[in-house]
Amino acid sequence: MTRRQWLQISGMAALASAAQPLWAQADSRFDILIKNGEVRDPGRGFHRKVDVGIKDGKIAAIEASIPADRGIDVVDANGLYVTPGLVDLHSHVYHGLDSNGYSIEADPLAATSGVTTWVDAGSFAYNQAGAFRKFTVNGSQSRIFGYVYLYPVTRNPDEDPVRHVRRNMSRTGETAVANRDIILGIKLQVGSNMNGRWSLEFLKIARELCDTYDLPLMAHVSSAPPETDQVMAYLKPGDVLTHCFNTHSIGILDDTGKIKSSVTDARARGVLFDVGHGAGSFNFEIARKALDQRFLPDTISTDVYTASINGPVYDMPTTLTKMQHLGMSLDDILVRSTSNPANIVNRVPGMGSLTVGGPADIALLEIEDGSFQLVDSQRNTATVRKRIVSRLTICRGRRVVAPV
Amino acid sequence: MTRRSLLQTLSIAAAGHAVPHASAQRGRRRRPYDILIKNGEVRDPSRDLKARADVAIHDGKIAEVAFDIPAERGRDVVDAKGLYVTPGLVDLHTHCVFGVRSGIEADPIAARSGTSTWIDAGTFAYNQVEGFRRHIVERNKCRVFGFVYLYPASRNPDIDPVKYVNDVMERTGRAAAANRDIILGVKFQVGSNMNGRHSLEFLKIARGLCDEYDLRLLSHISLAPPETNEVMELMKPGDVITHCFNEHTLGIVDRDTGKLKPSVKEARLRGVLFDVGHGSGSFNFKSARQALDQGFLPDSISTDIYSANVNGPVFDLPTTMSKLLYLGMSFDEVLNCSTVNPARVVTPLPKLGTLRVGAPGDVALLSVDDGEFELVDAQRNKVTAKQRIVSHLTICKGKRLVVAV
Repeated sequence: MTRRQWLQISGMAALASAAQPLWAQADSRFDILIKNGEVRDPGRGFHRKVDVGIKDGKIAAIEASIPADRGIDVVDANGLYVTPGLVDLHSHVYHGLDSNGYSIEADPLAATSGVTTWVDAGSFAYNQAGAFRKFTVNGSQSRIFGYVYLYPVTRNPDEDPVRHVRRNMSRTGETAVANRDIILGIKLQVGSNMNGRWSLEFLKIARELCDTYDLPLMAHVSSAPPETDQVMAYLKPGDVLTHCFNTHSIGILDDTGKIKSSVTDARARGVLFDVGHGAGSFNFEIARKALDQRFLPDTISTDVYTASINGPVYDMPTTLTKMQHLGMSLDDILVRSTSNPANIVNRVPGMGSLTVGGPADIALLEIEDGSFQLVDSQRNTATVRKRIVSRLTICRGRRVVAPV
Repeated sequence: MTRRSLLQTLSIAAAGHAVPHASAQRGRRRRPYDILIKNGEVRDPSRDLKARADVAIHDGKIAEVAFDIPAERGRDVVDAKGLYVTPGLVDLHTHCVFGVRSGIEADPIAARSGTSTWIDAGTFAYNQVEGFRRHIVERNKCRVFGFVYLYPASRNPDIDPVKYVNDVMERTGRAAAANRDIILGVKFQVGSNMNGRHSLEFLKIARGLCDEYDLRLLSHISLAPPETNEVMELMKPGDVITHCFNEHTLGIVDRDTGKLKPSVKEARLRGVLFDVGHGSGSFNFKSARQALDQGFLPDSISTDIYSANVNGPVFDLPTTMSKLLYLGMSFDEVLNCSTVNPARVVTPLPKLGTLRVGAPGDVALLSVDDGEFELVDAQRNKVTAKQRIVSHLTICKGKRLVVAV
């Protein structure tokens, strides 16, 4: 457009606006209008039967009774909860090029589960961040962020492990810093089943790296050694411990079923505890004992990946349902699957909440009655009368649809 | 090629009919060709063709190679005066899984280097084949194939290496067999610097896998142990040794005597292929010269291009070709090693690497420029060459490759 053309157009617009507002000339209707739903945004204590108008990727109106003719795509949410889009803090969505072979594709699952934001928990290392951005983040309708794994996988079994991890520290840190828009921090799997005798040594390196580059750490916990106390000692405020309700030897409960004091201390100083269900890391009994001691998780997440997506995890609503079964209220659950994880992501203003001007990331959820079987990671089953299901996922103001 | 078709080709060439006059076909088609390359010097080593001729490309294929095809018969007419018109270059050893390990993006370099076919040499393992297909093969405008790495890299330093590799063999073999349209075989890096004490054991596993699934093996060689003869013994006809002109202990030339190792000569005789695979560390002028002096030309010239060498010493395939030209190979020999020879490993596309009518519409426009050019090998040895090979246009699948702005 030349300067002259531009002046002409803006001049015309100025003239036109005298007669009618500019928005009236274009289609001023909402891209999507959600009517008759129960808006539930416990992160800001909002719970009301109101309509939600979406335009240009943002929430444009939250009002009682918006006329249906003001929407292009009108969604009848009668009987449904209209909630902030779910944020899954622990997932594996680096689909296709994941060198561990863990990852699933985000969008098809987003479309059916109400999840609008996925945090990949270290399916990639620094030397795959380029592909993570290009193919996964940029290639998805849903929002994707990630924790970069502490060190890259190696083909050489004879390389000194500590040397390998140390050698890659600065590149990992620099990659995380250079990609702060999509990389949230560092992931490490702590457990003898994950990195043999080296877990504690690697955790120390991770601590050093996170301190040097000012990055949060996400630590998976599974089999000791190291012991829980040793792990907690290395976690700082804002760090995330995932798999908090596992039944493994690195866990939050002691032999008598009480919350370990190092865990209580860690929470008191601001370490966050995430569910991270996964194929092996969520146990009903452990979770119930923790909840009985008022130890609610800070975030509820799936750890969905190839080995858990077809059970026992399936999707985020199923994991939420398990927490409901264990006695958590719907609002307690929603806070931990919307605003809490969104605050940890902390990259998109307004994400995890429903406010005018904020991002139009929305889930339409239903509490369905019936008889449903739930299964934990150890194949313990429970039958419940209510389950949470997703009816529609809207991300960036558009319906998320499964690619054909 | 069957014996019969070979004889036919030879007799046609002998009769001087390899390039017909365009008039022979005039009036038979109405639609103009997508691309018509006029006035170039056609060089097609696959059939020893060297002639000033025009090349027409249509519907992604070579449609006509003839003298004087009228310009009005092309929609996009390229004047190739003073340029060589060759089959699109085939780079047998690249790392083009962008964003993974040291992989680079193929298309921008393809566009400036005449390289229409890229073969990724094991940047990915079996569990990444799906992403390789979807994100790399299907997204690039140039052709991409790959060798799958023998085993996926691991996060756990305390695994039993041999058990680990054995455990994944079946999955690697199945992934390769299920994707034969893009997977050409199995890649493995043999050398104590790559997999410690386990190289020979892993190579034996690779041998078993390739035999079981009928797959080609592409073996990198670097530091002994194992010794060269131990590696050669496990290579079969059609397998490829890459980094053949390295200066490492696991090499083709005896470092004391400068002579080709007997096991190498013997391997070549039984059909093992030797590929350059320049890379950051694997091409040495002296090693290459010693081999060439003994009549040991490579079967294929390739770059082993990746992020650490794309800005030197490798740059691109024409630069690597220029190094072999400098070392005394003729332009036609160099071209042979960067078109039809490497194309032979691309079994899914039998006519690749040629300019025959009906072959894939992949063409490079090259020149051999005179001047003074500095060339650098992997050990930073420098020479000044009087000629270099330069690409002027890359056509792939019947379309010009252009660098996206």
